Amino acid sequence: MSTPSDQNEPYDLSKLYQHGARERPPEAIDRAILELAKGSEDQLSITEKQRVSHAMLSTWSRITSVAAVMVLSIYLFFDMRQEVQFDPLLNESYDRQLDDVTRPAAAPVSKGSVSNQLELEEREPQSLQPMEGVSKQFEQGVPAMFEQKKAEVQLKAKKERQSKHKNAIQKRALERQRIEVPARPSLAPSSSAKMSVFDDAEWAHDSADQIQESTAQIQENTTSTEVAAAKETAALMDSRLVDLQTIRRLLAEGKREAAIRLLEEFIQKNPDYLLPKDLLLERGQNRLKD
Amino acid sequence: MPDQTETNEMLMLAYASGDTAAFERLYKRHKAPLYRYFSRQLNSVELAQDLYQECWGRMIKSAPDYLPSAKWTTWAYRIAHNLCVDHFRTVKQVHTYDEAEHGPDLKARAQPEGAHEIDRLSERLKLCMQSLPTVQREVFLLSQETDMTLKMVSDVVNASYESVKTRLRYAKRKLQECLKHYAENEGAS
Repeated sequence: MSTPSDQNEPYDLSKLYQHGARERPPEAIDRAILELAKGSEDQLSITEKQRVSHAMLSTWSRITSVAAVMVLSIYLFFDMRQEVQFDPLLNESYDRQLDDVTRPAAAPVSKGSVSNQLELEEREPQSLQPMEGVSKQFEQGVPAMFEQKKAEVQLKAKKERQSKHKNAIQKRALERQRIEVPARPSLAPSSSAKMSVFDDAEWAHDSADQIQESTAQIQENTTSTEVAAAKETAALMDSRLVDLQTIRRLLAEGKREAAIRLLEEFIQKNPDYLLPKDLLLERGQNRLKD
Repeated sequence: MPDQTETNEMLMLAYASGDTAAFERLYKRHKAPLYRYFSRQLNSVELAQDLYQECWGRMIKSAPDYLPSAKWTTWAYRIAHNLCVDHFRTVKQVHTYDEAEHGPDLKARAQPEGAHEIDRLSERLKLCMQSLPTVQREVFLLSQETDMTLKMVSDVVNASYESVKTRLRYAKRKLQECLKHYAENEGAS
């Protein structure tokens, strides 16, 4: 390790140093060190065995972990594949089939002219808006799927609207029946109601038929309730008359106290009932006596 | 004749595997330079022998964990360096060059008349080395006793490359001055 400056120096330090470098460790130290090295041979062999066993263990643990990861990956792969088969959004073949099914349905619209076809092509990206971010692989199948779903939702909504509308009409008819019972109201929907409820002419036509049916039904229901009410009233009147007759019979038989008690009960039961004059007079006399 | 195809690292690994003969070969190869490292670094022969033995003992103990990530010499002399540093920390040695202190000593230990010039100069060099600061002496010793590069020396002494380079330059300059001074004194007398 000489530097360029060394060449200009008067003394060759390396040469002088190497010339005087003759010291050696004493033999006793040599022996002690070599014995120490030999003495630790057993320890070294044990350590070597440990090292080998540790290496084997680490190797096996690596192999096992890799195998576990592979098994898990394969399982997940098959599991996901199975899920894909059931998931229409991820199943390409399903999309194709669905596309084939739904395309003819859309065909009448697009068959007409080139402009219609262009219009359809313009509309399709709009239906794709909620599916933005879906890979191109699924883009072709998605519009058809979406259209079908949309049609289903529309049909469901239509049915719900129909049932709601029917209920509303029935409710309104009942209310009108109550208010105008003698006049027998016409339950046909007014033009304003029509405008507020109906969305299209087809639906209006269907609902008009339903209104007629519901009107007839309501009329039947109304007559039956009237008869029932009349029968109920008649029965009530009969029971009152029977009670009054009983009181009169008791008075005629001279059982005045029983008759008066029965009369008081009758008055309590029917406070709004106008008593006949004879019984009213009898009650007045009894009160005067008391 | 030692087999030079066997590197120090190979011998150490062989010993770690249980081959004591490999250790013997390694020991024979490096015992003298390492011993001189201690004996020149420390002023006491007993202390040098003690630390020398301790150094080999540590190497033997560390053999199972030895990894040939660096050169064996770097690893071994790092252990030696640490032992010296620990010793200097304990005794709190002052590393200053005191010419007044060492001057008479140099004269007293001068070679007798009739000795070869190179022997005399070599002995004077040893005396001059003792006057060097420890860090400079260590770098000089490592540069003479081992085939380590300055980068490796910097790894051993835990200093930067530039610092080691400077230390070596100062050490050589001081040794030259010391030898010159000694020659002048000898001529004057």
